[in-house]
Amino acid sequence: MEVVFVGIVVALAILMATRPELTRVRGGKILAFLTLFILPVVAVALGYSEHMERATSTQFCLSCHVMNDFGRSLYVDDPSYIPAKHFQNNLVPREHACYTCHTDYTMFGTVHAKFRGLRHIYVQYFGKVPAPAEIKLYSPFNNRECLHCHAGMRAFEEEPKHSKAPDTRSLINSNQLSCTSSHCHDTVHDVGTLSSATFWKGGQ
Amino acid sequence: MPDTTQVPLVERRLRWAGFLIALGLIVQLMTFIWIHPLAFIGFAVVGCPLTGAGILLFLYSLVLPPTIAFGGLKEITGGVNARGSSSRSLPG
Repeated sequence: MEVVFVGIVVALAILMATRPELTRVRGGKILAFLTLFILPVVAVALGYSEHMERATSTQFCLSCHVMNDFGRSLYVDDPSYIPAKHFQNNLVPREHACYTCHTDYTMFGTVHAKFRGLRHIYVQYFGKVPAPAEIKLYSPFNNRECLHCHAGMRAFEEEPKHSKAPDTRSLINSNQLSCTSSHCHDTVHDVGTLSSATFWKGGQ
Repeated sequence: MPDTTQVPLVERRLRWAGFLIALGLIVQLMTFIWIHPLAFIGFAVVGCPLTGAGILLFLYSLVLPPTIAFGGLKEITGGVNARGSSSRSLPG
C-alpha cells in the first residue's frame, strides 16, 4: 500500500517538475502545494513507519552475518535453550522473535532499541565486529522483559522455585534476582555451544 | 535545449523541488525492496534529505518574492498572475 502511494506521489512530483507552468492557474497552485508539500510529508512518514515495522522482523535482525549463530540458536533441539523454546513453541511471534524479547517495555523502549541498532550498524561497518560468542548485551537482561508476558501466568505463579524463599518473588519483580541467573533459566542463546547441538528441522 | 532564462524563477524552483522530491521518493521506493539495516540507512540518509530539500525549496519559493528574468529584463514581482506576467516590475 505504501509503495502504491509513494509511486503516485513520485508521478505527481515528476509532473510538477516537468510542467511547472501548471502553477500559473489556481488549480495548479493547489496541486503544487499537495504534490510538493503535503503528499511528500505523508509519504516520508509512511516510509518511516514501514521501515520501523521492518526493523522489528526476525529477518531484519538476522540479515547481518554476525547474527547467524543467534538465528541458529532458535532451532536448537533442546528446551533448556530459552530462546529456542519460545521460538519453536510460538511463545513469541516467529516473525518478530528477536524484537519481542530484546526491546525494552518502557515508554521509549522502541526508540532506545533503534538507537542501539544504529550503533550496531556503525560497529558492523566501521568498528571491530566481535565473534558471535563474545557478543554481550549492553546491560544485563531485565526481568521486566520476561515479566511483560509471564507475570500472572499460572505456570509462572505456581512454579515452586519461584516461591522457594519468601522473598524470591519480590527479588524477581525488582530485578534483583535475574531470571537468567545461574541454576535458573541460564541457558540462553549460548552460541558457543552450537557446534555440538542438534537442531529442530521443523518450522523452516 | 530550452532557454531557461525565459522561465520564471519561481517555476525553475518548482521544477527543482519536483525533481528532488521525486528522486528522494524513488530512493525510498528502492529501499522497500531490501529488508536490511542498510536499506533503512539509505532511506534516512539519502531518501529523506532529498525529499526534505525538495519540500524546503518549494516552501522557499513560496515565501521569497520571485525574481524573474524575461529576455534581459529583470523583474521583481509579488506574484505571477494567470497569464504568467508579473504584477509589478523594475528595470534591471
